[in-house]
Amino acid sequence: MEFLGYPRKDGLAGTRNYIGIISTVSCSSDPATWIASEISDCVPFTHRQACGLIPPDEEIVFRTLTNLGKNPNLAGVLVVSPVCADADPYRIANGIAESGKPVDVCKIHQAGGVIAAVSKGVDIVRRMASDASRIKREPMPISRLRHGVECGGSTPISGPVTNAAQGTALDFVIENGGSGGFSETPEVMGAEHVIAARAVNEEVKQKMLKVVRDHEAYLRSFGIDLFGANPDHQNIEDGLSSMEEKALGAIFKGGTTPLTEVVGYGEVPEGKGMFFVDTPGNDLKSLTGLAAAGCNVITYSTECAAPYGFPFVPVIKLTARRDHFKKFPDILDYLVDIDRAVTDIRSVGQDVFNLILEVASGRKTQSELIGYVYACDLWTKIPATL
Amino acid sequence: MKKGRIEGIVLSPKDNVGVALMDLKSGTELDLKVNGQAVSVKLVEPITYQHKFSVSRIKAGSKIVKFGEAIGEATRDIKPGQHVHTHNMIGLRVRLARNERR
Repeated sequence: MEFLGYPRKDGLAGTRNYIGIISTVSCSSDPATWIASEISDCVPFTHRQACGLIPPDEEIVFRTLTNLGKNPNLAGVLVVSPVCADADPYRIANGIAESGKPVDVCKIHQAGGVIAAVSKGVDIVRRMASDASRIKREPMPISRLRHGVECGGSTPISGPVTNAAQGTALDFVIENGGSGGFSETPEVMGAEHVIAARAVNEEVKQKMLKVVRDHEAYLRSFGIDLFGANPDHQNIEDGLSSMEEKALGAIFKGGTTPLTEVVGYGEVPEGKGMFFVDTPGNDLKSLTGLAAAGCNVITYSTECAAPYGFPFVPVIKLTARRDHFKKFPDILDYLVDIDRAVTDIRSVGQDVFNLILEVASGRKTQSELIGYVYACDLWTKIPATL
Repeated sequence: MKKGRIEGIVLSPKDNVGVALMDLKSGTELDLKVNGQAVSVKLVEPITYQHKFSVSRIKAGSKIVKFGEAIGEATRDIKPGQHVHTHNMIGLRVRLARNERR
């Protein structure tokens, strides 16, 4: 079994062949977007963070932007930055260059102002895109697939239906030698013991329990009472009665294989198998965490029909809501049949797995067709109020 | 069970609650599989789509089990066929947190 992917110098495989324009800080977002809009196959990664960075955020932002740049779906990267950015664009570029792909830096002030910087940036990515267009898709083993799994808008049956559909697809990816995983630490609170029990060893188990404990302490430090707010009013109206019930539904998306690794935000899991990335529950920030972890394809179960995707990783959106699927054909990619899911989840998972292979080989998702892929963000632990 | 779409289901063998897969009227009789056994449950109140109903007698203070895991405990006695939600159950950690505050 294989898919058609773009070969990369570091041995990874891209399911897409974009030039990424990465903005180091919120205020270089606009030029990054302008540069991307001038040349085909160029996409910006922008966010609203990283000004006034203090540890540990400095390191988190550095490694997240670096590992986003290393994602195999990018054939080349331009890092755009103002002169005063805390996140050093040259350090980020050097990190990305380790992957063997072309990388350059465009500093707004050094280039002689905004117009000059955009003009310089456009010329750089034009050359990169031209070179990248010579790379051809070739058959790749499933071991080069890294499948990220995301969910948003939980309902009492999204767990055993939509999440189980993508979890089973993740099982197939892993059974065929690939890797993949999920994220959203606050959403596993109440079911972390179930995930931890699947850990391959004691160290991974303790790390899983620790990221949840730390996240809980982090939220408490802001005076947030998670137990009072979760499940929320909409969840309760839908029939979810406790945070345990919600979390147990959320972890269906992790499938059934052993938990092999737990990594921090912006870090890349090293091995094969199912991993967990420590991210917030915010889906935009969580998708960034999955992309930085090297995921080259993502599935996303969304019962609220979340409209966005991600700039350079295809996001396949699943729902169990027939009404949404009919009403929002430009948002949703796959309808999970509820009766079939509760009676034969493996056949549904097989369908989703086949769709993953198709998308990995070039079929476009709805959010890619629409171009609704630039709503992205980055997680920093200290709120950007400094 | 009537032919056609599935009305309700018990997701895991150890569960003592089932889930409605459509809006169900009071008096609806469901033929379910509970822990490998065929069990007939008559709903004693209407159950909204996706909400939970009890498939056995659950005593106040005992665990509510869904997905094969405890999702909370009963705050009052629950009869088979009754709606199970925040009015008669509470999450384990919420209860623990509230006890800590006292």
